Amino acid sequence: MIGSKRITNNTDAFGHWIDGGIRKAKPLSFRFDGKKYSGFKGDTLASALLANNVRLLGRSFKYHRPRGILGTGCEEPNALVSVGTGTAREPNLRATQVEIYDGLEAVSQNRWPSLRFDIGGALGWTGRMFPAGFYYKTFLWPQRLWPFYEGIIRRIAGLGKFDVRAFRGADATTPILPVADDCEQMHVFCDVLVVGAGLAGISAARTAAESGARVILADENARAGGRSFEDHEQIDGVAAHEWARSEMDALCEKENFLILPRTTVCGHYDHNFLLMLERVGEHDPGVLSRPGAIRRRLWRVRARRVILASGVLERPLLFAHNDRPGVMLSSAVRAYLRRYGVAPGTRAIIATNNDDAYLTALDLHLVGVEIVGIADMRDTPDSVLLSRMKDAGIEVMAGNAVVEAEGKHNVSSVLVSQLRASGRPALRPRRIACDLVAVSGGFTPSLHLWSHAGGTSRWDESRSAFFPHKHMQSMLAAGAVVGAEGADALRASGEEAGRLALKEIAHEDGGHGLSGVRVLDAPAPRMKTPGRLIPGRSINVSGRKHFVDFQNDVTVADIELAAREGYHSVELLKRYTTTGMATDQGKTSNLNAIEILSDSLGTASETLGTTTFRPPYTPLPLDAITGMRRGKLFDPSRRTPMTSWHEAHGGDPEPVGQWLRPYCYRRSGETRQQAIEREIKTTRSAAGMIDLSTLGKIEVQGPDAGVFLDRIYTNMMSNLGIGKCRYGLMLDENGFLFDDGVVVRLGEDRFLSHTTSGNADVIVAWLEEWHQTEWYDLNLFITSVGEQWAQIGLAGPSSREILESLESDIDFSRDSFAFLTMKMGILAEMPVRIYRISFTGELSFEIATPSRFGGNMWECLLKAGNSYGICAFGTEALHVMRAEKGFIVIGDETDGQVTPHDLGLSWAVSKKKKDFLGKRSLERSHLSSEGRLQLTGLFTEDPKFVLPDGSYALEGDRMIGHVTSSYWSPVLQRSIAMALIENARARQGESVIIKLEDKDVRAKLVDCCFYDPAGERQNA
Amino acid sequence: MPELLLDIKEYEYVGGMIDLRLRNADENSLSALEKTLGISLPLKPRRFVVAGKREAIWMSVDQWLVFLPREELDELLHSLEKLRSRSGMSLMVTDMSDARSVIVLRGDGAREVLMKGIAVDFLVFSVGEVRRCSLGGVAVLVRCCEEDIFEVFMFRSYLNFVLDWLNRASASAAKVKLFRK
Repeated sequence: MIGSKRITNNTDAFGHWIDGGIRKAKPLSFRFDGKKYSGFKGDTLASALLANNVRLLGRSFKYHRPRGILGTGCEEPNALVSVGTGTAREPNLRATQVEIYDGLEAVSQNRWPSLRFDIGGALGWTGRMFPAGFYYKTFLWPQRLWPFYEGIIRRIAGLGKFDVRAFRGADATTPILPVADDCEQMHVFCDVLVVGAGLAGISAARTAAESGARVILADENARAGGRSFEDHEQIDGVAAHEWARSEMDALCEKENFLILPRTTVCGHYDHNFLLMLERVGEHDPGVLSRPGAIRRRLWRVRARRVILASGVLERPLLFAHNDRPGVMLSSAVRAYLRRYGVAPGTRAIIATNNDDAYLTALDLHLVGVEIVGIADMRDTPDSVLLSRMKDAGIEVMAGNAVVEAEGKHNVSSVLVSQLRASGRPALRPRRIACDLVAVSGGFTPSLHLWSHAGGTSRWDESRSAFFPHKHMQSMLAAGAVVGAEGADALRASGEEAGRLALKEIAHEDGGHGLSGVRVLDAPAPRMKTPGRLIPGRSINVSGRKHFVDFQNDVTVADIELAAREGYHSVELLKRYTTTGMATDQGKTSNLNAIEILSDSLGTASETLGTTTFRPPYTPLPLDAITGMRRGKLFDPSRRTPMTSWHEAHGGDPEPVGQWLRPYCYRRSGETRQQAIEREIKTTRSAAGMIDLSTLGKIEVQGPDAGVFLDRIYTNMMSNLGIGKCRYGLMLDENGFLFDDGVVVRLGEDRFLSHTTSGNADVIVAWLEEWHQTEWYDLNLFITSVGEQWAQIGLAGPSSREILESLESDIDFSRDSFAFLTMKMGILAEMPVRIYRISFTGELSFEIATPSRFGGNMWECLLKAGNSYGICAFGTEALHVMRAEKGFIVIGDETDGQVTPHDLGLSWAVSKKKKDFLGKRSLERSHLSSEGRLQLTGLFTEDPKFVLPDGSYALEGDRMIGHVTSSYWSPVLQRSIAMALIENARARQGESVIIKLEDKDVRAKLVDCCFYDPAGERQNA
Repeated sequence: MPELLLDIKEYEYVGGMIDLRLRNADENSLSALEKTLGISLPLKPRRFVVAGKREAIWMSVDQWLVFLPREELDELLHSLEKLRSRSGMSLMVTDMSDARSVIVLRGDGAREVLMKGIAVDFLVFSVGEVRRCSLGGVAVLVRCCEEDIFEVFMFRSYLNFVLDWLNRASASAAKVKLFRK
C-alpha cells in the first residue's frame, strides 16, 4: 500500500519517545477540508494528516500543482492551510507548525473546486503563462487593459483567502467587525536572550543562567530540544534529547530564567531590540475560553547580549517534479518518525549529496519502511557509512542522482541516473518504484536574525553555505548555525557563547565600552559534505519543472532564463523571478537559487552574496502588532470635566484631536441641522454656552516672557497691559499661519496663551523647542496648564445678566469689564478667571475655573441661564457663528500654505517688531506678490444652496481657488461661505463659478464678515 | 468583565499639587526654597521623597511636583511667590492641583501589567522610584510606593482611557510571569 501511517513499533525501535510516546497521549479529533480525522495531543496538523495517510495538502501559487509536506517547521513552503472558521479563520498557516486540538477545523488553499480536482492545475494551462519576468513582459499593450488582465491573474494566483464578507455585519454600512480582543504586547529586559532551544541554545542558556544573569530562551517549537530528537547522538551517556530535557528541567528551576516556547524571534533591530511572537493560546481552546485570555503576545525585548542558536535548515535537491507530494526533506522524514511516530511512506528512496541522509535511511529501515536505495550524488561516500548500510542491507548508489519524480498526487516512482564526470546524468535512467523520496541537498545556516541588524556572512566553499561572520550589534552565534556538528560540539559551542556573553557583560559593567565587532570562525566541517546540487540541469529543456522556490513556483529554468536576460545580481534575480519572495521568504530555496545563478554565470557564489534578510523571520500577524490598541483602546479618548454631562444630554460626539466634543446637542425628534439652528438662534437671541475646556492653555513666565512671545506671535505681546487679552497669530518659519488664539497677560511677567484644541501639545513642543534650542538665553518657563482649567464660553445678549445673577465679587458692567479684558475672582463660590472675548460675535465671556469645579460651574451657569432661555451649543453652532462673523478656523481657512496677509489679517502682523517667526519669509516675493489666494466671503446666487466644503472655483479651465467653509446661516436665512480665491480682495463684487460634479454654481465675492460688521453685539 | 489580577482604583487627586520649575539655583537659593517648601527636593533623577504630609517628585532637571494637603496649598503658593519676587530666582510656581488623576495598582503582577505598555524594566524598580513614560500612547508618571503598590498619574482627561487599558492588561487570564528574581 502506498502511503504514510502511524507506526506501532516506535517504542521498540527507538527505546524512548518524547512524552513517553505520542500514542500514549490524549487522542484528539479534527477536520481537514470537512473530513474528520484523529490524532494525538502533541501532533502538528502535518504529522496528524500524514498519520492518516493524507499527503496532498494544497495547490501551488502559480501553477496549481498538487503539493504535500516538505518539512517539519517554519521552513515549510507547501503545506499552507487556513485554520478556524468565520472571522477567526486564518490563512497561510504552516501545517507543520499548527498544533492540533480537539475540534480544529482546517482547510486546504488555492484549489477549486476541490483539492484533488483543481481546474487551474487540471488544465495545466497556467504553466505556460508564467515564465520569469512574466509581469514585465506580458500585457504591456494596450496599457488600459491591464486592470482586466490583473483581475484574471489575481484570481488564479495568490495564497489563501481573506474572506472580507465574514467580517461584515448585516448590511454594507455596518463596519467590519473586530476580531477577538486577545492580543497584547509585553516589554522585557534581559542580560542574555538565547534564540533557539536546541542543544547549543540550551547549553548557552544554562551557562549564562548559572551566573545569575537574566536569561530568556525562546524557541518557536512547543518543546525544547531542537534536532536532538532525530539525530542519533548521546551526551554524557544518555540520548541527546534526554540530556536536553534534564538540562531544561534544571534551568526552569532557576528564578533568573524564562523559557518561552512557541515563541518565534521575528526581528533583530539596532541596540539589541528584538521582536518575538508568542503563540500563547492558539493551540489550545481551553486556554482561550477564559475571559481576557491571550491568543498571541508580541514581546519587545531589550537584551544586553543575544546568542543566536537558530540552527540549520535542510535544502531540497533539484530534479524534475521535485515538488510532488511524497518528496520530503530527509531530516523531516526522520523528525516525523521520531517526534510523532509517523512513517511518511512505505517504500522510500534517499536522494542526497551528504552524509546526514544516511541516518534517515537507518531510521526508516529500523521501523520497517522498505529502503529501495540511497542515490548519493558523490562518487565516494564515507566508507564507514557504506559498511553500516551494507550491514542493514541498504543499497547505496554512489555517483547517482534522482533526476525525476513520477506520479500525480503522490510520488509513484523515480528515475535514477548515473552521473557522468561532467555532472550530467547518463542517458538511461533506472525507474524505481517508491512512495517516499527523502532528499537532502545539504544544510543552510539560519542566518536571518544574524543579518537583520547588519551582521555579515561568509561563504564556506566546502559546505556550500553562508555562515555568520561579523556583527556590529551585541550578538553572538552558537551551534549548527556556525557550523558545529554533533552533540558534543553543539554543547561546547553553546557553552562557549554563554561564557563569552557573560564576559562581555562583566566587561561592560566594569565601565568599559562595547567589545567591538566580533568575527566568528566556523570550525572545519567534519561530516556533512555536500556535493553537487543540480543533477538534472541538462534536462531542464524538456520542460519538466525543477522547482527551486516551491511557494512562489520558481523553477531552475526561470533562474537560468533570468541569468541569460542579464539579471546577474541576486537582488535583481529575486525581484525578477520572485524567488524567495513568498511567505516563507525562501527558507529552503534562497541558497539553491544562488547556486544556480552562480552556476549559470560561472561566478562563485561567494561573490554573488545573499539577498538582504529583513524582519520578520516568519509572517507576523497584524493583530499581534496591534496588540491591545484596538476598539476603545485604539487611541486615547480625552474627557473634559463636562463630558459626562454632554453624554447625558444628547451631545453628538465629534473627534477634535483626541477629544470628543459635542458637535451639537440633539433633543428628542431633532435632526442635527435642527439642533444646530436652534442652538444658534438661542445664542444670538438669548444666551448659549459651550465647553471650551479642550482649548490649549500654556502659561509662560519669566522676565523675558514678553520678549519670547513677541518672537512667537506676529503681533506685539510685550506691550499688553496686565489683565488685557489680545488675539495673536503664530507662523512657522515659512511664514505660514499654523495656530491662533488669545493671549492674556496675567501678571508683570506671566502670560497665558490659548491654542486651538487639536494643537495644544504641538504648540507646547514648539515653544519648548524654540526656547531650548534657539533662545536659551531668555529667562522664562513654559508650563501647559490645559488640564488644570475647565473653561466655559458663555455667549449671547443675556450673558452679562446671567453672570450678574450669580453671587460674585466681579463687576460685570460694561464700563468695568471691557471687551478684551480679564478679571479674576469668585463666581458662585468657585474661583474663576473670566475673559471677555468673543468667537461668536456676541457679547461673550469665557469662564475658566479649576477643573474640579468644571462640572459644577457648567450646571450652575445653565441653571442661572434657564430663565433667560439658555441652551448648550456644540462645535458646529460655534463654527457657523464664527463664519457669520468671518473669523477663521485653523485647518479650515488655513492649509499650511496660507499667510495672515492672504486672510486679511495684516492688522495682526506687526510692522514695528524687529523680528518674529516667519517675518522674513513673509517678505519672499511669491508670498507678497499678486496672484495669491485671498480670503473672501461668497454669496451663492441661489441663497438656499449651500456649497460643499472644498469645492473648486474655476476661471475657464483654471482653478482659481476653493471654498474653505460653507454653512447655512439661520440668522441670515441664507447660505454663506468663505473661500480662498485668487486676488479676491481686488475682485469684490465679481462672480466666480464654483464647479460641482453635477453643475456649475455662480457665487458673488463679498466681505467675509456677514453679520454685525460694526461689532455692536460683541461690544454691547 | 474578566477577573482581574490586581486591585485597581482610580482617584480624583484631592491634594494640592504644585508644579515647580527652577533653574540656575545656587545652594543658598535652593535651601531657601526647600525651607519654604518644607521638604528637600530630590536632585537625583527619577526619585521622590516624602516628608510628613509633603512629597516632592523629580520630574526633570528643572522641574518638580510638590504634593501637599489642599488646605496648606494657598499659603504655600503665596510664600513661594513671595520668595520668587524677593530673591529674583528663576522660579515658576504653578498650581496644578486639578490637572491630574491617579490610579493605584495593588498586587503581585503589577510590574508585569505595567510592562505590557511601558518600555521600562519595572522588575528592577524599587520603592522611591518614579518614571515618566508612555502607556498606550498617554504620558503617565509611575511611582513605586510599596513593593506591590504602584501609582500611575496622568492628566485627568486621560483617566478613563488609562483605566480601561489597565483593566484589560490585568485580566487574570492574561497573566505573565517574568523572572521570579
